[in-house]
Amino acid sequence: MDRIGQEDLVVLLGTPTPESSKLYAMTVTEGDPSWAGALAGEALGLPVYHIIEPQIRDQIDSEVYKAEVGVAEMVLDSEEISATVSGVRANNTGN
Amino acid sequence: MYAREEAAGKMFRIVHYVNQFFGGLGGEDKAGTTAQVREGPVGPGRLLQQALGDRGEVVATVICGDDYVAENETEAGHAIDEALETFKPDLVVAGPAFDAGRYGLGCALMCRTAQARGIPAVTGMYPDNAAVITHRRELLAVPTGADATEMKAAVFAMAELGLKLAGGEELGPAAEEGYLPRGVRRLVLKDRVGYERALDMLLARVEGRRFASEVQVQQYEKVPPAPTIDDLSRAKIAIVVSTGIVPRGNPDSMVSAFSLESYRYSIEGVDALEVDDWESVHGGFNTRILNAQNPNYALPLPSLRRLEADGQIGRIYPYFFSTVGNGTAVGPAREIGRRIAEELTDAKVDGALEVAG
Amino acid sequence: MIGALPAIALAANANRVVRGVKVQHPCGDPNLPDEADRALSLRIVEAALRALQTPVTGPTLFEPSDQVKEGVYAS
Repeated sequence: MDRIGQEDLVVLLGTPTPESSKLYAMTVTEGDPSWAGALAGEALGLPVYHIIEPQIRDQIDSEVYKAEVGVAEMVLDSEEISATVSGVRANNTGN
Repeated sequence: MYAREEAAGKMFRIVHYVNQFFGGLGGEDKAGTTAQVREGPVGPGRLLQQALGDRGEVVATVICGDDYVAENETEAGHAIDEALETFKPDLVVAGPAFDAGRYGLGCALMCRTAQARGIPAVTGMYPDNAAVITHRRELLAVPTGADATEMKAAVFAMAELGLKLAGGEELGPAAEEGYLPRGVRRLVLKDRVGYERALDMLLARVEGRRFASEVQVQQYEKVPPAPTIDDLSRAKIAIVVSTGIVPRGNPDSMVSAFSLESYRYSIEGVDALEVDDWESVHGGFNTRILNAQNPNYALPLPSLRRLEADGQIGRIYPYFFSTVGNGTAVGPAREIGRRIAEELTDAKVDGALEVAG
Repeated sequence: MIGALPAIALAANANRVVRGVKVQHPCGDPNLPDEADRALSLRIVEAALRALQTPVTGPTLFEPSDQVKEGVYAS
């Protein structure tokens, strides 16, 4: 962060569950909620999205998406993950 | 009055306990770390310091690897005792461990060691944590969820309860003060006699209203032991594992934690589990040894086949049952067991060997 | 059941509990040479079978014996 700055920086998650998505999303926005690592108490306020969210998915070539993410999407709880990550964003508006 | 005023001005000295992960030393790969002591707060200890404000100071942190503390209780206990001797805290705070079983045991050891020295101790864990099973009566624990994202709420609750203890306050019943019931019964005078309170509860039940039973049953079900197997050499033995052994690729998508079901896999004609064909998906410990070297450590098939070939046991049931014991709650576990037992009874299996994970 | 943390199993009222080696490898020890490792696995399983033949009245811990039974497993 100190090296490259925050301009034009977005965090993309590929985490497998709503719980892990929430943990990582919170870590890069409000700070590591588990206080286990280096980002404990550090609110970076970065924009964070999950790869399966429509805003991201729709920007990727559908063939590429199907090849790289397609299979995983079938076993992921996509709705829950989407709701969780956008929820974390909503709690951190203005960042 | 005098003692209260004195306590009000005092800043309590606190020693905090965390595991290798929250202590920033590493993950499962560092689970063998022996007791480390650091001055001041570490990781979630910094949040604890925030919660305490100027009412307390985290003077030191004890960090133990989860495996080390679960398997070397005496040695770890000595190290903890030494740290307490050095820092002489007024209060010990351990964890919160959430649902992590070995971490919970570490917190329990920290609390018990402190209490043996007359130092009050508080911890926090998920009610189904294994440490609550083994140490319910000795632990003063704030109930938490299973998820470390709730760290802030848990730590703040532990801080408040801890400060009460350190200040010499008597604690009320568990439900009021917000800690896990310990199974301790105290004599309390109520304003209404027993039969009136019982009638109140009956009316509530009949009318579909909620009420709180005065007697909470907090025991793990006692199961009558099965009778012995008379002739092992003619016995059919089945294998059940909660170490999460599945065919490579996990075709049934067994979850790594909080399991609700089991799956059965054929070992017909299989003498040993090959590392190319099987893996463990258990999410609660480092499965590197099982998955890169030898899955039989979690399902001792070669030994059983040898005993079968030598005639020591009659036959091994051609299917084994697999699930994960990581965070799997008692209710679902009972149901999984019941279904497996049903199949085994129908198949006239005489005994089962379970490997716990 | 075979488990590396028998205290938990006993407290949860499991009736026949055999002590395993470690959580990461309950039924053996990768730090031992192959033959000793296999012998250890056999002793653990034998303890489990012994437990199935032993009457118990409540949660009971069985320790794997130090020696493989003599004479039975000559190979």
